[in-house]
Amino acid sequence: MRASLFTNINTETFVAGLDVRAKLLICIAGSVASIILSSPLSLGLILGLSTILAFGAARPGTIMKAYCFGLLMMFIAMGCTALIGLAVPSLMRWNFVSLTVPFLRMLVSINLLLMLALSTPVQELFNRLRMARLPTWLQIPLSVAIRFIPTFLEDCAQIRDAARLRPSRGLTGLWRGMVVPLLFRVLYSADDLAMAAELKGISTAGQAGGEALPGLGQRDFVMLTLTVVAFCAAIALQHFGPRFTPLPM
Amino acid sequence: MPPLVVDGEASAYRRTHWTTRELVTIGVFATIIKASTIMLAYAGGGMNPVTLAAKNCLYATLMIVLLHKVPRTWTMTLAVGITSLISLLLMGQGILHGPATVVACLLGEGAISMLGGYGRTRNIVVGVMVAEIASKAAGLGLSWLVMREQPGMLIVATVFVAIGAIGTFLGSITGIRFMKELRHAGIIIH
Repeated sequence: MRASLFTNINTETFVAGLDVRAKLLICIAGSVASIILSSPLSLGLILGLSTILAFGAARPGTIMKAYCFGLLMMFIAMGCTALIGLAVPSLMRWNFVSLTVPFLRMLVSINLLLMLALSTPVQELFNRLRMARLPTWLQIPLSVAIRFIPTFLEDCAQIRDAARLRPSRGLTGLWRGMVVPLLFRVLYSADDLAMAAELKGISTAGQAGGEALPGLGQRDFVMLTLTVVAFCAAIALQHFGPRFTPLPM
Repeated sequence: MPPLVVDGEASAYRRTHWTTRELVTIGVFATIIKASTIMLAYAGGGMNPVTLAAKNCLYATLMIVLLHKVPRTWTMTLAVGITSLISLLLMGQGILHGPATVVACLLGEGAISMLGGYGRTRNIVVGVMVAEIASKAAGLGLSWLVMREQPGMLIVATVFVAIGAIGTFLGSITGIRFMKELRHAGIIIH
C-alpha cells in the first residue's frame, strides 16, 4: 500500500510531528474563522498563520505549485465574474474589501488543506482510526474506503490501458471502455472483499480491543493553545481594529 | 413488496443491524465515488463544465447502484458520511459542507421512505435527486457565506451548481440503464 495519496509527503517537518487530531482541530478552527471573519486585517492574520503551517508541512516547491494551481483557479473565477459584471454591472462591487476578502478566505482554506494533506501519512491516519474504537458500522466502511483507494487507482490504470486497445472514442468510448468495466469490477471487488472480511472473522459484533488511543502531546497542546489565541485575536481585531471603508477601484 | 426472508435470513428491508458485506460494499462505493470525482475534477481543471456535469452524473449513477446493492435505510447517509470523512481526513476539505451534505442525505432517505421504501427503482432515483438538490442548495448557502462581499461571484457558483444539477439528472438516467444491465447480468437481483 502506498504511504500516502500524495507523493510529496514529508514526515520530518514540525507539522508532521503533530497528532492528526490536533491538525484536524486546527483545520476546523481555521475554516470556521475564515467563514465568520470579514475584516481583511483579521483574515490577514489567520492567513499569515496558516501560511506558516503550510510551509511547515511540506517543501516550499510543493507549496508553490499548489499556490499556482489555486491562483489559476481564482483568476479564472475572477474572469468569469468580470464578464458577468460587464453584463449586469449592478452585481459587481469593485472595491478593496469585496475583492480581497473572498480570496483571503480561499487562501486560508488552501493553506489548511495543504497542511493536513501533505503532512499526514495514510497509515498513521488508519492506525489512529483503529485505536479510536469507532462504532463498527463506521469503522469497517471507513477502513475499507481508506485501504481501497490505492487498489482502485491501480484498477483504473489497468482498465485505462485496456480501453486504449479499443477503437471506440469519445463519450461512448469512455462509457463502454472505462465506466462500465470499472463498475463491474468494483461490484465484484466489493463481494470478494466482503467474503474475505467474513472469513477473517471481521464482523459487526465488535472487534477485540487493541492499543488504546494515546493522549495529545505537549507540542499538540501548544499548537492548539496558539490556535485558540489566534482565533480570539482575529475576532478582537475585527471588532476593535481599524474599519475599512470601501475604496472605489 | 420485497421479500421479507431471503435464503433463511431476514431481508435487508427489515433487519436493524448491518452485515459485514453491506458495510464493505458501502466502503468500496464511498471510495470510488470520492476517487472518481476527484480524478474527473483534476482531468477537467476544476472549472470545466463538461467534467463538472460528468462528475455529478457519475456520482448519481454510483449512488443509485449502491442503493440497489444495499437497499436499506441509512445506506446513502452512511456512504456520503464516509465520503465526507475521507475528504476531511485525507484532504482537509468539506469541514462545513460535509455535515450539510449528510443532512441533505437524510432528506433523500426521508423521501424514499415516504414513497414506499427501497423496493422500487423510481423511489431510489427520486431519493437521490432530492438529496442532491438539497446538497447543492446547502453548497450555495456556504458559497454565499464565503463570497458574501462579492455577489457577482455567487452567480458563477450558481451557474456551476446548475451544470452539476444537469449532470445529476443525466446520472439518474444512466443509473436506471445501469440497473437494467446489472439485473440482466445477474449481479443485482431485485
